[in-house]
Amino acid sequence: MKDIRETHAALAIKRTMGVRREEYLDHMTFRTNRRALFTEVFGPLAGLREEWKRQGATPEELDFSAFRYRGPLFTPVPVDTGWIGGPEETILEETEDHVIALDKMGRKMKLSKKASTLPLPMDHPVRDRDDWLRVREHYLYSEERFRDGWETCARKARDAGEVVVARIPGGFDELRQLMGEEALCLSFYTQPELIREILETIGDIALETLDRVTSTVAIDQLSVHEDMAGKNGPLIGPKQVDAFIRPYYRRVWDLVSSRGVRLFFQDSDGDMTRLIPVFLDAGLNVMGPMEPVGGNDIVPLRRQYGTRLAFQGGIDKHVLRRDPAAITAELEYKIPPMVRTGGCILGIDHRIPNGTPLENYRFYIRKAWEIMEREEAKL
Amino acid sequence: MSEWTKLYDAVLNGDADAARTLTEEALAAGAEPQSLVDDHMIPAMDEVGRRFEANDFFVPELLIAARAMKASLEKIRPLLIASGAKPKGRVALGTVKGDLHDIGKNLVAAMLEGGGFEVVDLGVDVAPEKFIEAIESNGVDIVAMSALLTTTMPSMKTTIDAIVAAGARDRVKIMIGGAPITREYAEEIGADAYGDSAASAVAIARKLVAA
Repeated sequence: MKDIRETHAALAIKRTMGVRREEYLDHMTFRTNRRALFTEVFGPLAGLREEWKRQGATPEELDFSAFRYRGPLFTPVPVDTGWIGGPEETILEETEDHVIALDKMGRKMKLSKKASTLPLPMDHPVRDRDDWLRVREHYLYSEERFRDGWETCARKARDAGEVVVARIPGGFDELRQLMGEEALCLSFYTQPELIREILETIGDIALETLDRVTSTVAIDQLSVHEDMAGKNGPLIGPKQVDAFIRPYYRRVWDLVSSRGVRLFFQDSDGDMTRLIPVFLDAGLNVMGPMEPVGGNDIVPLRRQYGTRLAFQGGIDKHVLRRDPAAITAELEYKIPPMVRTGGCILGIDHRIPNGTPLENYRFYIRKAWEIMEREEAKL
Repeated sequence: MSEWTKLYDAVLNGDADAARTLTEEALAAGAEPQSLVDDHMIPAMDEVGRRFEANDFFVPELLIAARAMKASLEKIRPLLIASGAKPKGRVALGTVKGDLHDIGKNLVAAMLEGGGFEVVDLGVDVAPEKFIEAIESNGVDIVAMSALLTTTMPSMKTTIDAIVAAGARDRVKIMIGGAPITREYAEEIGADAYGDSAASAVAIARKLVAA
């Protein structure tokens, strides 16, 4: 899927190390709070760079190196804990509007060239247990999971002060990839044993793989991608998370945390408020990007959960399209309590939306630093 | 209200087998098909919507209830058609051009059907011409558009403009919704209503057809 990958790569921004791993880990576990952390979590949406170019952006602004942040660099260990193998990825159809490609799961993926940043599946490999048994081989342990030089990569990153990350498949997201969102949601009721079986297999392979990883190299953060909520709340409720996903998270976290991994980070858009308690029980201690929708507001959530939960993101991306007064109001509301309490790497809550004037983004960065430095002086 | 209140529970609890069996039993005992829908099934789906809004139900509960309602409707629909009964309204629903996301649209479809509406599902990545064609050939009362991305929101305006240009605007009400959509945006582009969630779409559609 060359074109699809290129789209994502084209949106990448230039990052430099603002803090070393030790400071990040101590900050996010509330052990120390020397100064604020501040990052650009994802970068621009497709098309924003072209808008900024027309508004006179410098090359450094277009690759974001002109803007000042203070965050660590993250290095994922090149080890696969999810699906491996499958057919060669191939483009099946390409038009002016879209690309359709066959992915490694055998799904037809469609990418809208003009609008979307992610390709979406048009079909899925698993409908029932027979289908699952056919694809289960992609979740077995093998040497193939460990890419050449993985130990060296992890050690070098650690020596350089980068945060070394191990990833596991999402308890919701991976099953969504296999079954589709609606089929998965129905299956919690119609095929609960199948859901348990898949999650047990995924958990087994994550455990076996990370057992070897964490007994060979030091890992700082366990990361999981879920994207399981919208502006009105999560797709599934605490009942499903507790019964199906929590046991999977828990067994992996129990192993890796006993080997020195300090952070368990979950990436999920949307309002995750209703699921925070059950995910804390599952071991999570950092959530992002804390999109301010529904009740997902880091200020009251910090009051509610204190040092049990650190945040990444949290600043409303939509204010960037408004005016300096709106940007200032959002930053004055969010930054002081986060600087005061630590355990947060501030940033906007997702990609910078189209229609954000370059001048507003410049103002946002200047104002954020002004407030952070003012508040840091009080620490 | 008839004695078939268990049908309400079967739909609310998402028990498709029970809903089907109870419907068969009710029809065999001479229950009015329309009354089974109006007095038991629609109220059950309204309650599902209320619980969904309150975050007591989530997508699995909504889908499983809609599935139970469908199981029951399969038995009832032929009888309703034969009797000439009309749906509460007809809605052409689609995710706009350039946007491939479908779960929000599908939840709205499930809730609208549960609310007694007939839904013409146009799918995803729907061009303005497709919406116009649905208005012309299906005689729909409402056009409902969904978008998940800020980058595809403008397709809603393009579609409304195309409906106006085709001279069909007076014949339909237009409602919109989706993650980046706001009431202000709906007003700005000339939509008649904005739905904040799948559950709220039913109340809005009822208001629009009553207006």
